[in-house]
Amino acid sequence: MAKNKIEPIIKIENLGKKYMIGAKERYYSLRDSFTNIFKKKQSKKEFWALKNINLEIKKGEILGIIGTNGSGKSTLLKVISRITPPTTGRVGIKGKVAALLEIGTGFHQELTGRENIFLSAAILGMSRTEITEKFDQIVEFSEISQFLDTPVKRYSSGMYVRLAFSIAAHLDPDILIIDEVLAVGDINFQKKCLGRMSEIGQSDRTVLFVSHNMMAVKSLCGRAIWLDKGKIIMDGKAEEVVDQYIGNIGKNVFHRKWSNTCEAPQNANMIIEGIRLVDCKGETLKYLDIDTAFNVEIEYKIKKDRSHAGFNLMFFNKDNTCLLCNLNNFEKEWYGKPMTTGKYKSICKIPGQFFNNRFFNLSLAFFNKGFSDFVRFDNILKFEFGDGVVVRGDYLGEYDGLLRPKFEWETKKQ
Amino acid sequence: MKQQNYTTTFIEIKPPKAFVGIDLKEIWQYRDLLYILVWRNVKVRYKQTVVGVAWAIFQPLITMVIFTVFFGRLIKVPTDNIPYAVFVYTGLLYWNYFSTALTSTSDSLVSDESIIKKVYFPRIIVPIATTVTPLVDFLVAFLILFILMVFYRFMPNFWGILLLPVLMLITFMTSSGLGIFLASLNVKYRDVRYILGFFIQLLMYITPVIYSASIIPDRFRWIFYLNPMAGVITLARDSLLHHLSLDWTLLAASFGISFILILIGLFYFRRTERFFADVL
Repeated sequence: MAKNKIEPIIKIENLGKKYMIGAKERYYSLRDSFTNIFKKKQSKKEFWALKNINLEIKKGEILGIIGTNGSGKSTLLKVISRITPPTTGRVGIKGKVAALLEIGTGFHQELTGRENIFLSAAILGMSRTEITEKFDQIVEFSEISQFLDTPVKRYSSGMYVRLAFSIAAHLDPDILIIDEVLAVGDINFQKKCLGRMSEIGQSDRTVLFVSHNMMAVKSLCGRAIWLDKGKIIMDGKAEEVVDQYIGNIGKNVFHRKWSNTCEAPQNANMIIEGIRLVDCKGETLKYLDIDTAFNVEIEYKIKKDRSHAGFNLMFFNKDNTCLLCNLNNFEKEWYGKPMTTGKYKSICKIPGQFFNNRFFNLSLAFFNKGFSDFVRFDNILKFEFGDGVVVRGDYLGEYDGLLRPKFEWETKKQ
Repeated sequence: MKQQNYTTTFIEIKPPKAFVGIDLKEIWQYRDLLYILVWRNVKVRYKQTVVGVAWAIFQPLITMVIFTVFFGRLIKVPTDNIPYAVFVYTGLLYWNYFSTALTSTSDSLVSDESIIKKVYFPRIIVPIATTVTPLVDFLVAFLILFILMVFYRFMPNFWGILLLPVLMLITFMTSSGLGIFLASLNVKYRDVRYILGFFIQLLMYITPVIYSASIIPDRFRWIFYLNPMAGVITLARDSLLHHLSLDWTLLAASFGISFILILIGLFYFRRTERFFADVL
């Protein structure tokens, strides 16, 4: 293998990053500190955002980094780009690094587009002569030349993103670090950016790319690593890692089947044979994202003639707070009617653009007529929603909360 | 292809040691960034105020007029026959720079947290750029001083003018030293800026801005001059207005103290710097 002989451009050895997490705030007031002198010290907890990371990246490689929220992806990028120091280990880097951890780094709302090009480019590491040289290209790429002398606070979010990305796209580092900044802007501009990205890839530049967009990772990256709880759990060809990851994301359980009747959840009248999350065609899901509608499909057998099948789906979050319950008592065909023995299938249709990109646990309760013979089975399915594009729109940050529905907005001038 | 300014051939990232010195070479490599941040601060400052550049002229001028009316005319603060307007304006020139620079520098790391959390560069550039910024105001206000002297037909001492840059340097070191220290503290303790406002107000009364240092009894002078700004303003007046020969001891003392302040500031900054991105 001749390729192995190339010296790595980034060499990471035994890297670890520890954070102290406690009940305390991130920053304090002096007043609190003085009053706390007399209080007992609160115990702090250690949290390793990264542990024992060993990684070699060769020149020209495009490395995708995937993993769930909080798996250490962003911390790894921050350590490599020298924003935060590691706790253990070392990183050796040969060459100039540029980090794009957010869109529009250093932009100032009061300044014009022209001024912000100079400002942001300088902050991202371009020299003044370099900016002057590339200024026209940046303006052309951004397609906003007529608004160049307008303060960016008057820009639409689309224009803002275009300008910001154009600056980023004209950086000329040896190593480019990109954290989830592509899922923005309109589709055409996204394509243009992706095109520019793959050009960068061909120009022998090393790229580290974090994204929730699995398609982008597959198409852009040659190699990928999968981080989970601060450790690399898989390293290999991007396609293979992405496929493994999708099948495994957050230890998702998208389907369960009970062939052994003793273990299956049951009451006196019915027995649950299987439960799955399926797409609109009835195929078991491989990947769940917040934009796409899906169904919960319950397959069961009525053991006793003239039984009733009542269901309740309960969605819990990570902290085991119940987010919502949903009963099948509006179902028209069979609810409230006696069922003859045999196999049945009930489907609960869940719309897209409803849940946020969080982890959920599903509990299933089932019961006979009048909520009698009530049995509840916890953690029957587990799943994490991947981030989507539709509800995200032009806002790039985290969405708080468990739901992310797309409500209608209306504005009228009075 | 032209070589880029910031090209670093090899970088090693390791857990930080207890103390690391200032890497002057690296700061020099990032001089373009320093320049652009100063440029940004100046632009933003003049864009955000309604009257823009005129503000730099009006602010010290109005303060001077108020002080002249109350302290010069009504209270009749002794100034050794120097027009009170010229007298107080000379003090205000340095004091305004000092208080503006100190306040904004203390806040600089917090207000630029968005770039500190997203990009690597020597963090010291942010507070330094912020201390440099009000120099523009200082220069504008400085021109007004000469106009004022012409108006009062006051002849300044030529040698005093030569001393001004030295005094400016001391003021710069004092405000950046204190400012860098407080900026680092402010990252962790966000109430520093409120305390600072009060502190600066008090400091103005123990600095000879509105009065002359000559009213301080001799035996307390050495305490009084522990404040380098007291030295700066006294020296400025003595050399520029009073035509006195230069007090070398006072100059050396003020310089020394401001130098100690900047060392303390840098020391504390370097000790806390590496965790800024985690705390901000």
